[in-house]
Amino acid sequence: MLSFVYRRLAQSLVTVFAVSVIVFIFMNLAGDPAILLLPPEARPADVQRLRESLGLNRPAYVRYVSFMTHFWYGDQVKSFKYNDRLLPLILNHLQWTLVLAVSALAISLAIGIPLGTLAARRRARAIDVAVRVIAVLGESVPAFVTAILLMFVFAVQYRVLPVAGLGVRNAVLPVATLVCLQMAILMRLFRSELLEVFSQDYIRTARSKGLREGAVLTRHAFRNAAIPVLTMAGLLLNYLVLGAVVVEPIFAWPGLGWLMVQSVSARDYPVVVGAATIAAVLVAVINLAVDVLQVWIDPRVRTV
Amino acid sequence: MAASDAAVLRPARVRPRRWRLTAGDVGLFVFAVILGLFTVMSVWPGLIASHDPILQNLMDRHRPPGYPDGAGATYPLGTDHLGRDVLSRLVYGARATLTIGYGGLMLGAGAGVLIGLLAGYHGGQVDRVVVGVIDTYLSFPYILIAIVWASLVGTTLLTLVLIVAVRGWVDFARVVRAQVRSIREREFVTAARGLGAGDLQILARHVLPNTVGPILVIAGFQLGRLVLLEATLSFLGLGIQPPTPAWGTMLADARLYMRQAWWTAVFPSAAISLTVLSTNFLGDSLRDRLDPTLQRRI
Repeated sequence: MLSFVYRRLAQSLVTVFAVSVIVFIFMNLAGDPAILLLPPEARPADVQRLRESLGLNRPAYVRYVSFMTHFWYGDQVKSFKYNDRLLPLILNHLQWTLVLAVSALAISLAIGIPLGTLAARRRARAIDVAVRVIAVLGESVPAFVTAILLMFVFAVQYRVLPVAGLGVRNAVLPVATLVCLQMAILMRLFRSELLEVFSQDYIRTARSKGLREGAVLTRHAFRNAAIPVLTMAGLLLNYLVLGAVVVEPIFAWPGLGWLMVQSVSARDYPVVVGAATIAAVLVAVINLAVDVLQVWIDPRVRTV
Repeated sequence: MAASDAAVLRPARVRPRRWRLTAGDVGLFVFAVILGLFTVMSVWPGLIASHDPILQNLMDRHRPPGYPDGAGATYPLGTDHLGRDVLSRLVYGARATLTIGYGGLMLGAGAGVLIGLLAGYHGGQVDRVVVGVIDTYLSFPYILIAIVWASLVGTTLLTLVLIVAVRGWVDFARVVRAQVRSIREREFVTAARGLGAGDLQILARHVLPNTVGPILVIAGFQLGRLVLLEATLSFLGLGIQPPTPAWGTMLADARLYMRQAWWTAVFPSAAISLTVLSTNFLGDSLRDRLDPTLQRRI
């Protein structure tokens, strides 16, 4: 168990390192930020001074190491645009992404699991067909289309909810967009896993020994169907980050995705790199937690 | 041999199942036609487009669908905030979106199949590295890399195809590798080797043909995802740059004028959604028809 955790931990570190290096390489392919930052009429001496103050005149690997150490200690590397320290800036925005993500996930679970169960119990009936259609639509319609549609109906046409900004009422539409996306996946997965479980011998045994259907579901079916769904948490996580990057700018929700997209258009490279790295760390940590949780729930995984 | 023995040995007649038109068949037909239509549109946009997609006509801003233009024709789907014909932009936008989608798909499929073949057939250290990379890929949201790449390195057609291809190869590699690992243990591979076939010949003549089904299935699903990736990037302003029309850019522009001109937002949204829906459906049907054993969740 412990060696499994260590191995996964090492793997996560490699992932984060790889991502940060890739991002750093892209950053260097982009060209000289000093030239981009200054107006075209700037004198060469000014460009040189800015390059030195940004530490751009040193070799790439030195800049990588210094960028990363300064980044983590948060003292010297600053956002070009906000003239702010990176880590506090990014963490500050990260909290708003987490607010969106956690509430969206909770609502998706609360709706998706019962609907998936209902669909699996009433297979090929109207409710099942409806659930499958919703699932296909939810996965095919891009997040930004859903977001714009919701915004059009609720904020522009009927004006019951604010268009954009930070606040409780403002969170409704972005959360709803994320829910549309995640619920579809959750529903489909849970339905197909339950159908798989329903065909197992132990379910027939449980039913034939006279267990009530509710007890069969909660005691036997749910726990076994939950394991593969947990495995797919990585997939959900991908949709979550995608959601953040796409949905936050649309609703001007100041999360990590918003910060990243803003910084892209402002050519604020340190923030782009920092935000991507922090997102990578976050994803790696959640993946690790999911893996450990899975071993804890399902002892069969340990031998792998 | 007595006549009665022959009667016993005769196999029971299996009555072929009558072919019936199912909802799935109809759906497959409809979605294949939609996708085919979009593809034709992207190859010969002139067939449908009635106007120049980048020609601005500030006198005719935000005209509703069906509004007559000055030259005796109409704007079938209206005009956008710069007076450009929405239908023509949609048709030419299909070109940008699908070129990147198909280009990335082919490049990704080529690379993925090659990597999958090598890793699955070779096994050992190569396999372990490839599996590690695939796992990392699948556990990490590629959109982050795509955004950083597009924003820092550039948004030319070639870069975008590359960005999309680098997302596209993973699923091909994963599935082909798994297939190859089971195929290489089969008798016909041993037989081929016994007859003196080299690795390359075995891979090309005996292993690869047996992976075609799954490759097609993955391609069906993947096209939709790659189109979605392109649309997302262009929506964020990181796709093909204006004035060349792309669906994501059209939607991003339309967002600001939703109240005045719903048609500028609705039609690109529908185009993107329909494309992704069609390919998902196509992938699903292909899977049911070609390879029932392939796992349902990919």
